[in-house]
Amino acid sequence: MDTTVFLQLLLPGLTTGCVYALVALGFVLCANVSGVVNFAQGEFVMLGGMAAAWLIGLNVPFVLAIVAATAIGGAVGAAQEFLTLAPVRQQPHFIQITTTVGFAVVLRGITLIVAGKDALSVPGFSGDGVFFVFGAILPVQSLWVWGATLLMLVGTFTVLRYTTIGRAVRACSINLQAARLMGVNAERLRVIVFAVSGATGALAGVVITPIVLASWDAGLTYSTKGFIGAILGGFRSPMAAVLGGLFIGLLESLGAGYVSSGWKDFIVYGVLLAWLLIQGGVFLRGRAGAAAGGQ
Amino acid sequence: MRTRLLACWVAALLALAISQTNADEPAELNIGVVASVTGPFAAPTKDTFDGFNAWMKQQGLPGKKIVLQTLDDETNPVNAANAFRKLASDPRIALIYLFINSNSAMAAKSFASEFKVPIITGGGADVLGIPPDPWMFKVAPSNRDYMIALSEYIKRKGYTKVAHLYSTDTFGQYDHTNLEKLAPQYGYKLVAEESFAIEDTSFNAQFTRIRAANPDLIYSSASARAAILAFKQYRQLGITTPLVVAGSAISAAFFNAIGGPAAADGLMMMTQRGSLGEGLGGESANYYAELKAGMGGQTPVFFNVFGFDVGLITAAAITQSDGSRQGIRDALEKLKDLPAINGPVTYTTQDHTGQDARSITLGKLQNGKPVPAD
Repeated sequence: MDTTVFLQLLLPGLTTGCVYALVALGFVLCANVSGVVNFAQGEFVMLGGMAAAWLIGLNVPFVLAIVAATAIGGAVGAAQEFLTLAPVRQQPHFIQITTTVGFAVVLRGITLIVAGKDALSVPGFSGDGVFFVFGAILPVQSLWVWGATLLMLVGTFTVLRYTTIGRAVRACSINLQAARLMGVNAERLRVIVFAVSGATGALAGVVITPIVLASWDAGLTYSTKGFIGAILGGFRSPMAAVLGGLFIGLLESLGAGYVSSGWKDFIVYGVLLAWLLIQGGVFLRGRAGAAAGGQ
Repeated sequence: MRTRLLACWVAALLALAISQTNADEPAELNIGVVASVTGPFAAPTKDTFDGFNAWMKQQGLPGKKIVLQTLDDETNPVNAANAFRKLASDPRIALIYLFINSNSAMAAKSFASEFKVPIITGGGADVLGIPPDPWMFKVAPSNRDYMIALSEYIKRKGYTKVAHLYSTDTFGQYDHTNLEKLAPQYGYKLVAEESFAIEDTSFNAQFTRIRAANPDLIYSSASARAAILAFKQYRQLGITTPLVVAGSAISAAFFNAIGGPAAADGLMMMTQRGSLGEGLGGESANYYAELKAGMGGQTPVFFNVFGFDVGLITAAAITQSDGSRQGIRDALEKLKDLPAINGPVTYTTQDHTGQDARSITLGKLQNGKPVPAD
């Protein structure tokens, strides 16, 4: 196997996987505290990228634009929970999930109206140069994506493990009713978690934009791939979701490189389908059924 | 009796006044437009509208007021089909424009004859013009015409190994099918055939495979955002193999996103003659000057020219018809070598493609402007 080619496929896959991982993490955190699959999760990535590009276009200082874009993601995340999900909390789950889809569409539409239809670019944080890893060529911005992802993951897992809020989130994921009985304010916690998920997604969008551009309609892809990552991770453990997201990024890139670019999505969705069938015990049941039929 | 007579006079005078008022107002020509106002094809669509508006400003239809009724297909074939149906069902609409990509135009073609309304459509896919639907008229040359021009360039340069990066939509598929067919005739081989979906954000794997195949030339069928990302990643990977892109790749958004027109210096593009601008000569050069003036002096890009040419075709068809749907259709089918910026427009009963290989040239970008490639 050619090491250069392998790294040329692996490392950019890791970069994309970082974004999927953060989206997957957002999916799982929101689901753990609210029981709702938030299909607007990928839109925060789009929102972060678009907001940063738009602000930089308005000559807002670079660092301030990044902070503001992240804050906008956090505020919109909190607003989503407070304004759209809290009012339908008592409704059946499919209503709540549909609400998140509606929120995603509205967010996309507003972004289109405010920032326009063209893809927007942001200069690389350390310029638009490249660096080499055993012959593989990567944009310097990849280092920012990896670094920011690592920082956000360490931060998130530290909070989850060592703070009261983190313990409350974990408690909710184990047993929401029991957590409430132990005094956890689930309503407040939901708003906080949605805000953190929004900010995390937005920051991911900011750091990836110099590589992939920002576009008002880019969120759906991130939502889909992040969702698949979260499913592969079992949709409960934040760490497993992160690994699931990274895996999807790597699978896409290596699949396109070593099998065929035309088979990229087939491979990703094929793995998802196989995983769901295995998880559902379909193969085992099939065997059991066959055995029963043979008796 | 006198009162009744007076009332008749007043009524007659009123009727005369009203008819006089109507005669002063230009007759309306209602044109329906299915356009990708949003979605991945939005940037080319905006350029098309800019070009068409420049034609309206500079020429328009003397004695007629053009009223556009636009519906957004969001770059979605299902929406395009629904929008087309809605517009075609309106009896006031005399003509329909499809400022959409090949995928969406194909969806509309499947029932173009149902409503018997003439259609002038964008899109490069061959089947939009051949076999023709009696009511649908394409403007730009077909994919096959482009690929013939590219193959001739490949043969002239003595290249034998070609890589193709193409989208999985109709436009990309037709480009690819034509290249596959033409390769043996022109003595080259497709050594890398890499596809992508229009919403893809990474082309790293495709270019890694292309680089490994060591081609003499890379042709990219990408347009809109995909074209920007593909070009950025081609440059980032330091690939030195000449890259030819589809003309639809080049837009104002393209230059903005890559850091200005100079950043694309040396990039080759399959384009129509209109891109050569002032160097065109003849009537095409005059029209080009009008287009540029109509856009406030801004240098026109590919879809600006397309939009202006749609206006020229419309004017020819309207002035040579009675203004009815059937009349406009018949007039369109009779157009022979109508001068336009991108090249002459010809329709026959067997071919509704419009412009052909005569209108295609291979340009090389220099500070955002194409000059003939060597």
